Amino acid sequence: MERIWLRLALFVLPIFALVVPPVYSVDPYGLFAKASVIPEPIRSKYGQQMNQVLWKLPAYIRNPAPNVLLGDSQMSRLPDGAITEITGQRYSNLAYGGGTLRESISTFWFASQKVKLQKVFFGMSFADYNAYPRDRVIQAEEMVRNPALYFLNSDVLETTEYDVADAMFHHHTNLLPQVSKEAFWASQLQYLSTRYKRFASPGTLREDIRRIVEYCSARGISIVFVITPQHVDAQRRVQELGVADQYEQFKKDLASMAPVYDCDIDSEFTRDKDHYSDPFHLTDGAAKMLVEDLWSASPKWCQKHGAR
Amino acid sequence: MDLLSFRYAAFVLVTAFVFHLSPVKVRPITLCAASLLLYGFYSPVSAGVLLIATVGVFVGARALDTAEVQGTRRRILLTTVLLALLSYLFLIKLLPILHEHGRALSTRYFLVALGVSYYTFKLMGYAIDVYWRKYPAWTDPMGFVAFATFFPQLPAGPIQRAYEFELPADERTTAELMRFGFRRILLGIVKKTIIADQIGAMMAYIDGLQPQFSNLNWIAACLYALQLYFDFAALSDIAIGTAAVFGIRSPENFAHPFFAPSMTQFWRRWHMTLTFWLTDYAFTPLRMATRNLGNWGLVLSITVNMVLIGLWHGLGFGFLVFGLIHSVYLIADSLTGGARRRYYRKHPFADKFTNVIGPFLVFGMVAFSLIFFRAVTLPNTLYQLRHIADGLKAPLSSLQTFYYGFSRLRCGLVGLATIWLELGGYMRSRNSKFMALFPRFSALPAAVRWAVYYVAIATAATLHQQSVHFIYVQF
Repeated sequence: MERIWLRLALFVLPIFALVVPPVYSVDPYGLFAKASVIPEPIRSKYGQQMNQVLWKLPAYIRNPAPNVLLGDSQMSRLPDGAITEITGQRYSNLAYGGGTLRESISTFWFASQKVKLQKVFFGMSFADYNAYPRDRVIQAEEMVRNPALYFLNSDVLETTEYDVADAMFHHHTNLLPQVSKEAFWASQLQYLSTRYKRFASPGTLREDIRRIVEYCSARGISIVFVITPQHVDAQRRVQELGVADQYEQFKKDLASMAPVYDCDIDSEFTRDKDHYSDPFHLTDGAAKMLVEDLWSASPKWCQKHGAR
Repeated sequence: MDLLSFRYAAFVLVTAFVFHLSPVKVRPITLCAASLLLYGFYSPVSAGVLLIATVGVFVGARALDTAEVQGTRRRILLTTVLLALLSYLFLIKLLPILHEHGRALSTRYFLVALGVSYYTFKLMGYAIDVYWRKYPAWTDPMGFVAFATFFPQLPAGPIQRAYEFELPADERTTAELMRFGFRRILLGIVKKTIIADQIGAMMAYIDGLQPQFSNLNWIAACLYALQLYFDFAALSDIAIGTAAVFGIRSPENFAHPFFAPSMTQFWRRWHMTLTFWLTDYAFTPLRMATRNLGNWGLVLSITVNMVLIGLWHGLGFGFLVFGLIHSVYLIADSLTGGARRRYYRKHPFADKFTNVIGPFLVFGMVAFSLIFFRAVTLPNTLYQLRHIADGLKAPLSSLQTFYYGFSRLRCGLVGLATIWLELGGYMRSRNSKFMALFPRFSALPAAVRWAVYYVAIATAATLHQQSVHFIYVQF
């Protein structure tokens, strides 16, 4: 019997030996808040592309800002540094690439436990206003609580591999699609037919959002919804795919709960293809322009309406 | 707790270590404590209900076994025990429906459905066997609680009979079982992560292309049958393997069902512990009671049996229809069985031909029935039925569309793993001369076996998606 346990220990030992030291010394997502053998720009490049949730949450724990941005990849493009410069207040962008509504809700509660929040900019897109079940925030929180899980996470292992390959062997891994902007543009517009199929009522998540608004209202936290701007090509797909009623309902839902900055409108900004890398995502320059407009006294590219 | 999580693995290892270190007399207590602790992690109230149900059945069975309780009183006692168990099972199955219609509070942290179907059937089977005097009632309460609450079998079976459950005897057998157990767990992990989850991704891909690519719907129907099988088989492998780590043998749940040449054979190889349970406690008694009705009795017994199998999964229209469809299949199979056997005796080639074609037909029939199983809403079901044949006019073309559109690498990986595990396993079980050319995996040198294990673990870890749960745990 003892032989079996010994053999099991011997079997598992190489796994630990091969996994634990590299992951600990590379620390691709900065969980251990220590100096890494890999330069920060490389870790940031792969970490943010592989799992933005895991990248942002440990950093937020170390340095929580009272003003946060929540949402999906569209919202994640807005540079919090630029907002901090404009307003003089610390902002943290906790929106994620591939983020779901569920993740935004979980992130709000996560952030509210770390610091007394002052302002919340809750980014929303019609394509993500549903009850899609993925919630990477729970997984990331578990890893923060139990770092042993970090060593066995497939994103962590994969990112460690990319970090080491880039830093030590100068092998750059390209995680972005290898197609032209035009081809990718067309495929993303086509993909909307899939994303809008996920549109069902967000169900109980609507109540969860309402709870967040009530929580903020009770504690004097300013909360605003931001409907992120898509290029007009993507806006047109709402009519083409016959989901216009649901789209209007989505905007009404938000407006009934809190103030809304609706940037997903036909404007000079959203008509310019050079502002976008694909129908949904702003380029860095355009994102900065939007931030400057949104945090100005009277935004011209977003309409304000809604509760209060 | 996710069965594929580090936390669950650590729980199993620590519990097994403590279990094997414990003196033999203390082992049932260790097992009970671990099982109730794990179940209590999900819901302390549900763990309490499980314990109360177990104690109740233990006491009831002891009473059934005594000379004082005879005749009508025995029947009433058994009926009371069974009704109590079935009522709770029915309540658990009904709660999601009530909650959907706003007639019940969310029971997320109060009551959980985890394992209720399985342990209810375990306990019912035991009580009925004692009533039938198949074997005497257990006298060891801790041993019985260990059997009823045995945590590896709680999420999704297999449904073990009380007389099969034995704590480890000698160290040598236990050591062999442990080795078998670890290998079996790894096999389950491979089936889940490399096959079932990848098939799930394929189906999500096809779903996302509707309605433009309705010609792929028949592929999705076939894939769902495979996904369900590998997902559930993986769960069974992990359960059987985990039990073996404790030196406890579990019954098998699958015997390569998609190689069955007939529907009757299919149900003798699919979810065997449930099928055999219902055969022993529902079908056979009903068949005996209706034997004077001839073929009508057979039709009734099969229909009741299959409807029960359908509804066991859930109180839903889709599950009911699934059960009814299979009752039609089995009735046709049974009523024509005699004539077919006579025909095959005269025409042996036809028999061989059927054995080759049969599995494909059975697979198609099962895949069709699972449309109702999978589609949650009526509109979804009708959509699937309307478009199921769209791609069958040009099947190769739709297969190509799928293969090149999804991911050739992942398709290849799934195909390879399926052939190796399923076809290879089936041929081994039939003592195929072809497979005899290759050495058994267990006969390979340790270094080779360990290398394969490492590759399997690395592949599974890379492919494992945290958010994909086992399908059959929900039943």
